[in-house]
Amino acid sequence: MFANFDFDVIRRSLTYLFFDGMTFTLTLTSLATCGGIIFGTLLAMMRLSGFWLLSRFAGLYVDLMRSLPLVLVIFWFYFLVPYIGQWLTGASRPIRVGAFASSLVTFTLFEAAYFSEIMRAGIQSISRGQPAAAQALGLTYGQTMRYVVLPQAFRNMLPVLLTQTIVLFQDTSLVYVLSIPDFLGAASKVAQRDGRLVEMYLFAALVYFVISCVASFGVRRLQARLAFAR
Amino acid sequence: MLVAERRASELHSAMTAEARAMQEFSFQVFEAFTAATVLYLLINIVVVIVMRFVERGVAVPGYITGK
Repeated sequence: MFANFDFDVIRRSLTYLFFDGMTFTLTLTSLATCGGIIFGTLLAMMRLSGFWLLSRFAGLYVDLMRSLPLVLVIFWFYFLVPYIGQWLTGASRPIRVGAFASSLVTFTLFEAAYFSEIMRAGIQSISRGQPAAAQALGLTYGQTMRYVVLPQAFRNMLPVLLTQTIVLFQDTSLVYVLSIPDFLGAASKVAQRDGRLVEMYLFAALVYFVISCVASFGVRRLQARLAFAR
Repeated sequence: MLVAERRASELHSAMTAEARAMQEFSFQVFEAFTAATVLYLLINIVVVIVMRFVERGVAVPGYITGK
């Protein structure tokens, strides 16, 4: 099988694959993770709040985002936002939204829904006595959340948050619908150009596998270290 | 819950592929994607409603922070 396997095409394209493709993939992954965790935590707190309107809005948003596949959300966002922007600003033609900005906002909004469910589980895993004790000490709602509930929720949910980040890392390859050269996109470009589809796709799969596998082992070790802390 | 929904979305990826195939055949991109979106929403709203009941059913009373 490997008789006419061209390893040189991989070696020749290594700098392009990693400096252009992997840089984009990692940038998008880390920015979307940070944004997703921040907005997700806010959404989770909204969903658990006593205000009917806030919790209803957060619930609707999360359920809507989780009901749609990421490819469709990327597609709709990229093609509809210019027209919505035109309608909002009253401009004469559709506003321009770059592919990177569009994908970053889409991933952040989409992942916020998933991170919000994780954070909601984390907040609900704290026993009721803790916020009750915090209130008895005279802490406000904001202080209770900031100093008592959220730190414990983050610690309990850290393995799940990191696992979701690994899933997000794999999902970034879906930006192919906007034809942005992420790692997979770069590999497929070289593959089409040089007619070496098997080599490039196998190499891309191997790289994704190795990175995700190493990250999974790291998460498992972290989980074992965190296990005694409660 | 996350795992179950991911499985469901993997099953549905066949539906997206179908929509893409139609798109290449007819160039009616927006119509095909609208149809796919509506179908996904209908299927997953059922899942969401069922999961709400499951969540309410398995909650341990008196333990959960929040509402």
